Amino acid sequence: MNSKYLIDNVAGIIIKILAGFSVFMVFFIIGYIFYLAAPSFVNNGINFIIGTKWGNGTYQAGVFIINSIILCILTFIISVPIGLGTAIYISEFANEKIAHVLRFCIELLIGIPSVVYGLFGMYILSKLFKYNIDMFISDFLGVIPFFALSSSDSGSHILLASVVLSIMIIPILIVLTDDALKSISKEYKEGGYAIGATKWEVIKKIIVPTATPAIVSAIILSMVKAIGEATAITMAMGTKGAIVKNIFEPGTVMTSQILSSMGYSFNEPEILSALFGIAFILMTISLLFTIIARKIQDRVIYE
Amino acid sequence: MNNILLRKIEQKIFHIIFLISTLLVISALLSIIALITSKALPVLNLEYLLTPEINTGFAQGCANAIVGSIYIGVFSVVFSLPFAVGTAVYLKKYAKRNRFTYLVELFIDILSGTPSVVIGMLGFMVMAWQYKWLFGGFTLLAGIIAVGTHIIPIMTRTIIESIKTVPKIIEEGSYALGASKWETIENITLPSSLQGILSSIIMGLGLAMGESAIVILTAGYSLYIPEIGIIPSSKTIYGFLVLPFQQSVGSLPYLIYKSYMNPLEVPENYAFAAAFVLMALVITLNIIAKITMYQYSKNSK
Repeated sequence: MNSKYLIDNVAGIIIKILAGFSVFMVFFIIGYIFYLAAPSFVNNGINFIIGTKWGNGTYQAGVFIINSIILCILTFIISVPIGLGTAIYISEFANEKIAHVLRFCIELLIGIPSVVYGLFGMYILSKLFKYNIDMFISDFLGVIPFFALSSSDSGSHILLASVVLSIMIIPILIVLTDDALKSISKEYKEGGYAIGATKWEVIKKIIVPTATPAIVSAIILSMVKAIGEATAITMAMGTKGAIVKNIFEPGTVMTSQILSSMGYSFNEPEILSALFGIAFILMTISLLFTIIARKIQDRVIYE
Repeated sequence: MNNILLRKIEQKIFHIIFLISTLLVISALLSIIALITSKALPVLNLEYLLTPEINTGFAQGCANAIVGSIYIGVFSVVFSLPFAVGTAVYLKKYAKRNRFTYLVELFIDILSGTPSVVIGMLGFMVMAWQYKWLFGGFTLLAGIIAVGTHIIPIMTRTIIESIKTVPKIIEEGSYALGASKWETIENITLPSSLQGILSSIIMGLGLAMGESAIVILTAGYSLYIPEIGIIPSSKTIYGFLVLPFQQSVGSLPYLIYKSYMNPLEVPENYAFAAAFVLMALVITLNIIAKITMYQYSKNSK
């Protein structure tokens, strides 16, 4: 009789240790980053975030932060309408069989590693942009300097990076939004049909508003993934260290800077501290948005 | 009558808009697969797949990268599975619904939101640099720990979901028969959530094999197929290296990245060939995952 409960106790202890590892890991990660990043923040103050000098003893992350924000906004503009539209089509308009096939295709492609997309963007899409699309866009929107094509265009620019990033996160966005739309109880929809609304009106006025928290949470989680992407963006945009003034310019984002500089700069404490400072900012942003997304999700479940 | 017509036209317009966006997505995804395959085919032969780069020259063979990626994938999952299962079982079975468990769940979320570069740079600093005398520099072991840590949250969440689906009645029946807590977990809960555990394993495998930033910063690269054994070395403080763990390994994502970085040395076909192999592996894993899920749902009916 005793041995059974001895095993039980031992098992319980082992399980608690295993669970504690994750907690320990997070403490360790945050602590280590904080410890190494602190000098940068102490020496530069607020200028670490808004200053743009990188070199000769002063290392400030402003350029990368702004480029990351611009990249995110562009990716948002491209991926959210397409992702939502596709999800609505699959869950509301397509018939059962087609929806099944579509879901299968999209789920299959969620796991494709980012390097593959980066390669695709670098070798194939950049040529497409350089010879066809860029001029087209510049013709239409070139009035605004942000969209005007200047003399040299290599095809590898922030627009390309945002397209690649969009391709990467759209499948996840679709699956999450699809789940959100599927979870709306039938009674809501049938109520709408019962009072004579068309299918689109039911979508527009009932389904989407009800699913909005879940959809917003899906978008936030997808964008968090986008912010953290390093390899593919480095491949698509390169590492030119200036603020992007134009969608046809390359530029460096936070993740690219870390990836490219880590290898040879870890010996110099100032640069190392700056890189960890960037990592700290990245983690803060990811953490903030992940928590917001979870809070929105929790509210949905208890509704 | 006019009003109804307008509403129907509005519906038709949006129907077409959504259809267009769907077609856009599907055609983009299909053309990516098609283009990668077509650019990879000219150089894709058995020799390419089976010869390591040391024998064929830079990027013209990928056996070392394939083996390395498999090692990374398998061992990362081996590393993370106990922690994922342990955390999931703890959260669902042991912990009371108090603030501490909320904290643990929060920490899992923090870990899952950590960008992979950050985990990579930490892995580099701690394992490949500061503790070089313990690990041996850029090593498979460092890569396994770093990638494993990265995939723990997703696996934990999947396993939690599948533990949730075990009907309480069965567990309570087990307790009623006099089983202890661990006996119930071992014989009832875990076997019932096996499907979720299995799918988390496959998902983790795919994620680990495709991970690029972490591997670049912790596992280094090697042109050789990893050997197995123990060799004497001055790199570590204890005088020997346990292979294949304490050496750098090649990996498919890094191979692709290096091919991109050296466009003059590597014809683009070879870069796409490596991408094709990686893509094929990951998609195959996804298909296996889907088949297992389908089989399980058939069996339970």
